[in-house]
Amino acid sequence: MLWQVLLPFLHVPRFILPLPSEVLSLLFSTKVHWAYNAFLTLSEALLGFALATLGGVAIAICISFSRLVRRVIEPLIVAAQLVPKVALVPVLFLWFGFDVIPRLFAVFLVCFFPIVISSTAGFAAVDKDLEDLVRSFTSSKALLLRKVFFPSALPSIFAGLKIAIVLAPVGAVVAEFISSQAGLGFLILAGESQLDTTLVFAATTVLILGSFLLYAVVLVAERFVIPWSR
Amino acid sequence: MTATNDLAIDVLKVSKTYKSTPTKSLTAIREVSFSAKEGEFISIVGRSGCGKSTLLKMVAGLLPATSGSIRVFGSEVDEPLDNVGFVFQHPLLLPWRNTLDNVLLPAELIGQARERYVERARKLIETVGLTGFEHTLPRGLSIGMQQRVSVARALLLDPPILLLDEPFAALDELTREEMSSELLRVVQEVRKTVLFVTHSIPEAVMMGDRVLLLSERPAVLKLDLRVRLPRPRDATIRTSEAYLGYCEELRSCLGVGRASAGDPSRSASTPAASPSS
Repeated sequence: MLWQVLLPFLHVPRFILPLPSEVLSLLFSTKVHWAYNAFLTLSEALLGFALATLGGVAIAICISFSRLVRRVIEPLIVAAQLVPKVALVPVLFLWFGFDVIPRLFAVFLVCFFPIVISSTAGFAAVDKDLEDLVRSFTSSKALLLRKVFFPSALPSIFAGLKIAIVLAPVGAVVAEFISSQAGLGFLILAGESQLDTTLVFAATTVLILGSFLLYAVVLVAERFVIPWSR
Repeated sequence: MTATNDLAIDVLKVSKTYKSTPTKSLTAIREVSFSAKEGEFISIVGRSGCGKSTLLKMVAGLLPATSGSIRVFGSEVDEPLDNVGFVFQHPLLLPWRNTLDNVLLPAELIGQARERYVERARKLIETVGLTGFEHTLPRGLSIGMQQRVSVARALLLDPPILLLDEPFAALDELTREEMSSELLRVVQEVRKTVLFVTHSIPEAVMMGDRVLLLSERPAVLKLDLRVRLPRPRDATIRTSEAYLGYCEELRSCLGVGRASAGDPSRSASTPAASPSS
């Protein structure tokens, strides 16, 4: 409110800081197809996130259940984590073509590590005595995983998912910065190049709302999947 | 199978040594031997950290012995046994499973249809006094109630041997007293060979046919006391002359203050909550 009222008196150029009313009116105008652009970016984010969840949890299971895999893969993961993922995004386009795949891959990269780390921690946190107890009944790793370890690790896995889902739209937008014809990242970049700061703010607002929506989806899923955990 | 068929558990000169560094090692248990006849209830007492739990885990096949041999029903223990029921200090229930499902877990893990065991599970839940809580999640139960669930779970597959590793250690004093009378009743009902690890002398005497006293680290067997008290017993035994005599004998052997000898409610335990010995 203060911003809306004071801004005209301060003679701040519009391309530095737009009026909130302008941003709002752009948001509700049909000049930009918001639903389409938001859907594009958020679906990329969600799909990349889903792939990272599958891959991350699978790797965490391998790490937790095989000493050999742990020895070989864990140092690689630590090393890979140090690579600035965002800096790799342009290379992804060179490798995979200027298409949807490198965009998904970018999202995957930013989401993957928090999921692997917290899932592995979740499997490692299973009580040693409980492990002894259940192992005395069966040596089937698949059965133990299904009945005991995987459910036990779920709270930690969800902790990782909640970190990753917030990063996912960031990955999608960065990828769109590099190459895209549409999407919220494209709009932000377009707005910047035309000094249309109103568009930048409007697109960013949509991005925030969309990210919140994705986060809420994960929260609801958590409630639904592990109602026993608080 | 050997001639020692009537022995449920036969522990012969078992030692356990942990290597702390390549040159230094720590002997937790030294040449402990004892055996348990089928249906016998053996209490194992000793100070916190003296290796009681280690001994129990070796009997269950969860830890290998450094030397010596452990036989259960005549056969050497070299892998985790599935015919023993184990109750730990903590209930270790699966938080997403209700009481009934937690009790049924062993059946599912050995690959049996749970339907075959539901009836038995319900009966056990009744035995441990939790009827009405079949569909309650662990977080809705007190620690004492959770521990009852874990006792029921240990009994589900009707194992001939029950190993209890300080099952009351996580309970407050009042619940503890109540639970030990309760367990006494349950165990007398099911007639199993039981090894009961505790650091409470009164509990050990009240429950056991025999009390084994372990010394401090490295643990050696200091005393093998036969408790000739009539069964079935209940909590009222705590006031009997013979009971107090046994407690006193154990206390003096453990070398704890005689001043408290006349007070049966004072255990010889150090209250230090060392996680497991």
